[in-house]
Amino acid sequence: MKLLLAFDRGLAKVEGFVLAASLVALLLLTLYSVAYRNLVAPQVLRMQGEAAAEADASVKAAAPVPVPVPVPDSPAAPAPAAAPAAGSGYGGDMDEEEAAPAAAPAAPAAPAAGGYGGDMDDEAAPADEAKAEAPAAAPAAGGYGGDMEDEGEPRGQAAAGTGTGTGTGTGTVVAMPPPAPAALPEDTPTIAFLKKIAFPWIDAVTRHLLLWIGFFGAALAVSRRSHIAIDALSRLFPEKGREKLRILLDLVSLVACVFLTRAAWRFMMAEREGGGMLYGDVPSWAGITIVPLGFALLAWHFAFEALLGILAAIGIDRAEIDARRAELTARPEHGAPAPAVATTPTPASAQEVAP
Amino acid sequence: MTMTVFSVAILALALLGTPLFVIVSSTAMASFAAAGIDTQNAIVELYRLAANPFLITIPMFTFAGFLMAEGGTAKRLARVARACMGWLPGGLVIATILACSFFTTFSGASGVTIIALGGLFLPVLIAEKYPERFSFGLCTAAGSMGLLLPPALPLIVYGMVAGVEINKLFIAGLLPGLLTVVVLSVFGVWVALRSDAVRTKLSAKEFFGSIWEFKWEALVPVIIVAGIFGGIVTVAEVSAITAAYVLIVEVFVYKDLQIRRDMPRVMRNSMILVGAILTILGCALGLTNYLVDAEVPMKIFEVAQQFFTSKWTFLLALNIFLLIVGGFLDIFSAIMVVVPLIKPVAQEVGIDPIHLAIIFIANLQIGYLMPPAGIDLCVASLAFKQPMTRMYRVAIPFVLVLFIALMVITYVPWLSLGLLPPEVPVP
Repeated sequence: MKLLLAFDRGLAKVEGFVLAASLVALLLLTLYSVAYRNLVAPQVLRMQGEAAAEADASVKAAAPVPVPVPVPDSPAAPAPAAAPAAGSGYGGDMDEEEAAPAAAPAAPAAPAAGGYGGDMDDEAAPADEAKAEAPAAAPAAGGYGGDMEDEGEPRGQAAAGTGTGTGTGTGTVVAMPPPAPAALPEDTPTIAFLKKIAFPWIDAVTRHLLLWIGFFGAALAVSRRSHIAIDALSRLFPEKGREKLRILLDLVSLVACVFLTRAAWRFMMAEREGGGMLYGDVPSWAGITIVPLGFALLAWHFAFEALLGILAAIGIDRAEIDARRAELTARPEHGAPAPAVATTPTPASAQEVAP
Repeated sequence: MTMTVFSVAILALALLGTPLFVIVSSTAMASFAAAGIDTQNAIVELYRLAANPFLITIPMFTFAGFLMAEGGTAKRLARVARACMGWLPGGLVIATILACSFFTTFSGASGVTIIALGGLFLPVLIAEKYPERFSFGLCTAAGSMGLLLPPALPLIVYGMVAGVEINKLFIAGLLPGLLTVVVLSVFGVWVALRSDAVRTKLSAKEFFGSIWEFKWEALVPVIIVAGIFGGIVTVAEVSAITAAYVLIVEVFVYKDLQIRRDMPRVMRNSMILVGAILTILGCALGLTNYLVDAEVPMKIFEVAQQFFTSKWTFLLALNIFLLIVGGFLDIFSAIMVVVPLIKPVAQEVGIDPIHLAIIFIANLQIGYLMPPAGIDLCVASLAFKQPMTRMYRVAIPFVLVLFIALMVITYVPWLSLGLLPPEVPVP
């Protein structure tokens, strides 16, 4: 029993660490791509504009060629977004130079597919807004959502269809090994370097970091009872009854999480057989691993809570379990605010007083 | 038959307090299984959530809010609000409302405001001879102000669930959010004038001193509003910039938080809330997809059509329904459970989806003060050590006043939609 408690404590520490690390990484990566998109990318465009002015017209003619034209049957909605995007695909740096400044406020989708992986999805945000009904369609342009939907969407509804349409139209620009240096030999070393540090993988990484944060945060939320629940009725229960009720609820949650883990595992396996690529050499199923892992973590936490609840109800290790519970729920947190002292000004100082 | 038993069991479990993501995901998986569709579809939707470009705003704004809540923002905010407003008749009331709105907007509406700011303002209100009942009610009601102002978390979650553009929601929420603040302030001043509340003198030193101290944090809303309206950066980018800015300000400028001592805790606590929201969001999207596939909203609409002949009767019914819901559910559960069902119906009746969003949040904002279990009432009763029944009573005048604002928001769509830029045709 002691061993289990120690294990749980260690696990919570690891989870907290992963959470903090993910958050820091997320913040840094996002800031990097924000800075890149807003500071470096315009600079690159400007420099390319200068370079392009000197270049001969043959490059201009070649520009539209490598563009993968969106599938003709894709519905009307994503077409406008895809069209300018395709126009400024990797080969077409010249077009891009013309399109970007003009289109910036009106059709932010245009620079979105400008070939700089980093800015791809930040810009895809407004593009997504244009067709709110299919939120997956625009981000699919980010180059990995598209892959996922290709294989992983057995129902193949309209939304998935558009996602795939734009996804392959623009997303591949990012996913493929960059053909640009070959197509544009006149790239100066500076431009090449600036392009290189666009790090198109940042986007895929941040998206998955969000999932990591979500699942690890949820895992920690279990023992703190911070999961969002309708607690109006359970408040009416007396303390004793509430403890027994919790055991039941933990067991129910455990069962649900086991099923979810299984479903997530199957989803991952199906993706694995599909063999899609997330980015470069990374297969798309690797990104999904967090989902079954996350649900398995949740299942473990619910199982552990249920076990502790049962043990406490029988009277084994009661003191330790109570101490642990008090420690975890001492902080004022969402949904379960601890009794606060009205005279202490901030939650921070309330916490310092509490233990 | 098995389905009926299952639904009843699920409903009972939900009411007893099972984590909502468990309820939602089991419903989704059971529905998929019953329809002969592989249950991994529920996961597909969840995974697709990661591709939503707005998703990142949730951890970022939450983190920024927690940083401010755990730093000394509350103290500085209370000081600056008092110094600037305290000399007016009812100025302390206005100061309370403004400070709470500011704070709630950032910290998310989990009752933190009541604990952090209510504890600061309540003793002062009573000391300056405002009626006691009024003071309790004010500190409770002010805790849910500001939910309509960007970047309040409920707006983001609503946008994710309903598939509405979040930057539009932010813009749409501005005027209605200000309206609730103004209406409540007017009521406060009226009460102050009729009571023998004292005023503080305007001190130039305190006035400028407090503003100077607060200047860094005062820039945060400027960044956000400029970011949203400026159109240079996206909402997702604004959220990251805000989080980084607040981090720097709280740690390096004000030095309220120390990296080694406080950061792990703040990060963990904020991300626990994010995890709780994201899990249920992911599961809810899976269920929504099933519901839409099964045309459940259409069926509801057919039933609803028999009762509501016009947009206005529908809106009235919606208001009443949401006020009741708000008394039971917290705002996130309410959004995730109710929005997918109501949204298609409202669309059929001809209500703008963005206006609907604002009505929704405005309602749930009042729901915070509704018996039996409005969150603000619960938190305030704990924080101020008052019995729940007393909190019910002191909240009543505020509920009525806010209800007037709600009516205006509901029946004057311009308030929500007027500031939105006209639709730009996509070239």
